[in-house]
Amino acid sequence: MMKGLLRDTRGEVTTTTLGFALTWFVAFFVFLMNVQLGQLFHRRDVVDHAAAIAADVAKKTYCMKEEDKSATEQEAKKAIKNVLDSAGGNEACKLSVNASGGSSDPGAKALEVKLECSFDCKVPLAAQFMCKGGTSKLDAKIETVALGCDGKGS
Amino acid sequence: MSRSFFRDSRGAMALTVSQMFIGAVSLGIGMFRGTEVNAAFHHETTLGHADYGASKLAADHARSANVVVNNNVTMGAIMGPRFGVEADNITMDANAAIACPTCPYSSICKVCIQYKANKPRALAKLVWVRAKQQLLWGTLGKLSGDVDKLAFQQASGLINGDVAKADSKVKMRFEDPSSSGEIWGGGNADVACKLSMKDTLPSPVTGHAFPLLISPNLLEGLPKVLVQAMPQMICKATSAASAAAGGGGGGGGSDAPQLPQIKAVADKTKADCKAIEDSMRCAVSAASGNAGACNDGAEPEIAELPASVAGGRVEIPSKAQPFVQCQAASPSSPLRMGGGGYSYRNGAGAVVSCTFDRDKCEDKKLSENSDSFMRENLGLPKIVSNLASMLGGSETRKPSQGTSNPKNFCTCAFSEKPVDQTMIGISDAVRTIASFGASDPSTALRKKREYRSCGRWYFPARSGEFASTPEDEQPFVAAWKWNQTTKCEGGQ
Repeated sequence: MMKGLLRDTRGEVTTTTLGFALTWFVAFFVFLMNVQLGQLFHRRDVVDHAAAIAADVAKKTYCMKEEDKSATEQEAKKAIKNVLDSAGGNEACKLSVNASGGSSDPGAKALEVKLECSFDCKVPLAAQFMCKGGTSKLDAKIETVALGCDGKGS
Repeated sequence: MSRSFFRDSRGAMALTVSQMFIGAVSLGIGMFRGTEVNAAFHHETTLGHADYGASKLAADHARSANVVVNNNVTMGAIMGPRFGVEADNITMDANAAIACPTCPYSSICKVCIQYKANKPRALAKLVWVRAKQQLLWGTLGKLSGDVDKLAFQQASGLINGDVAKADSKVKMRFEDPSSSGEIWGGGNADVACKLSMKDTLPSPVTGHAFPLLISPNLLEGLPKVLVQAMPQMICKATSAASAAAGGGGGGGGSDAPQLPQIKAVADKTKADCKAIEDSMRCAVSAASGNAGACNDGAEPEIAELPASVAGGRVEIPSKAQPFVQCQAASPSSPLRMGGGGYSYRNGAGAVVSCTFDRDKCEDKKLSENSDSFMRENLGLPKIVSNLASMLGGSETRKPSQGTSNPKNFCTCAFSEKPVDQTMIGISDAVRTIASFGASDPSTALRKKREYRSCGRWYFPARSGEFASTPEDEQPFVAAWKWNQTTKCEGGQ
């Protein structure tokens, strides 16, 4: 086949095939990066969305749990599990809820909800170029205020 | 075929087709990501509607709680003047009961004359204040029972309207405790009256009729004692409620009024105690073998029981038992002679003396007889079985479930909205392309999703400036607040 290809006097096939191979490789590489980029964007969205849900749950739970940090984190983790599962699993993320100070209202507590995720990038070739060390670290931090801490919890 | 494909002068077609496929997949990924973002946005906005609903409902219920508190306070406030006027009228009647029998010769007869002249004025005031109090308790008490239901009806209407304006596809529903009964259904008139009494005692309302209508008051101090006793007399306040309300503000101690100045009361008290003491004396005589030899005209004495009466066992009548005190004599605690009784030698040879405590008896009987006198002769309200009816048709309110954080002081709002059909279509198309037609349409996006948000209203009893408020006084302090929560206690 190669002999026939080289003896071809028209030359068009050779040129076209070389051009095809080179261009296709570049296009495929761009495609892979596009896939990886899409995955990263998806994960970025998931982390932001999960952090928003966690902040909402923390805001509503912290005072009802009588300011128990770990109980609040458990409730928030439960709420975001399904969302995080769609982006690489709950265990890839670490959630923390911290009181960041009081307020003029004795029942109000400012909270800082932080979600730190580290996902593996698995798209061939693109992962090496687009993810440092083969992982993507995505964080989200939301500040909110829990009300009702001056009442007895449930 | 591959040979002809590569040799084909139109080989550019193969490149173009494969690039188009890659491009289509890339585009699909981008669109799929768009549907994911839309789903997250859908979640957050729809939950936001539920949050708005729950926060408005909880805030309105908290406001209603403070309305109930204001009603309670107003109802308690009118009770103060009533206590004062009731006490003045009773004291005036008691003054008349002392002074009028002495007319026309004694110096205190003028009190009787003043009484006859001014009693109608005091009585008119009494009728007026009773009517006002009953009217106020009837109307405000009823309002307290209905205010949460009204608040819920109004708030839910506003929420539905507001959400429909923002997004007509959102459906809202509510689970609210006020729709299934009165959540402020408990009565706490006893606490209201106790607080009112504490407010009234140091005020000029107490004893205002003296010297305005009668001078001098032959029963100085009685108006105050009567005001102290009013929560028990009118509001059936129990001793437990009194203890919970604390003894500050002039309260505390025995609140039972005593009228030793009134001859009929004093005479009856002495006669009652003498009869009880005589019954004990007869029992001692019987134990000594001299049954019937208990002359009630004799001076009190301590009879020594014969040794045959084992352990000094005497069958004391039950009405006398609370007033009998037994004491073993010793150098450090010699025998006290309060009244008649008996003595015997115990197993150790020491003399044990059991005597009748006449002071204790007279104190107790004086309170009882004074109370009877006031109820039967001075028109003090009789004990009633239906307190709410007597007070005007309703009572001051407390949470039906008690406590500062009742479980049913919690409401939930639910919101629901279908995911946009275009988004579902894009998602399905991308899934179909990516799976080469193997994927089924998304069920997750078509699933009916309902978002819940709840709110509770509570008294800030855990911390802050109201934390030390006694639990039974919380329905009288307008500090009720609200906050959001994920679910109500006992909910799913």
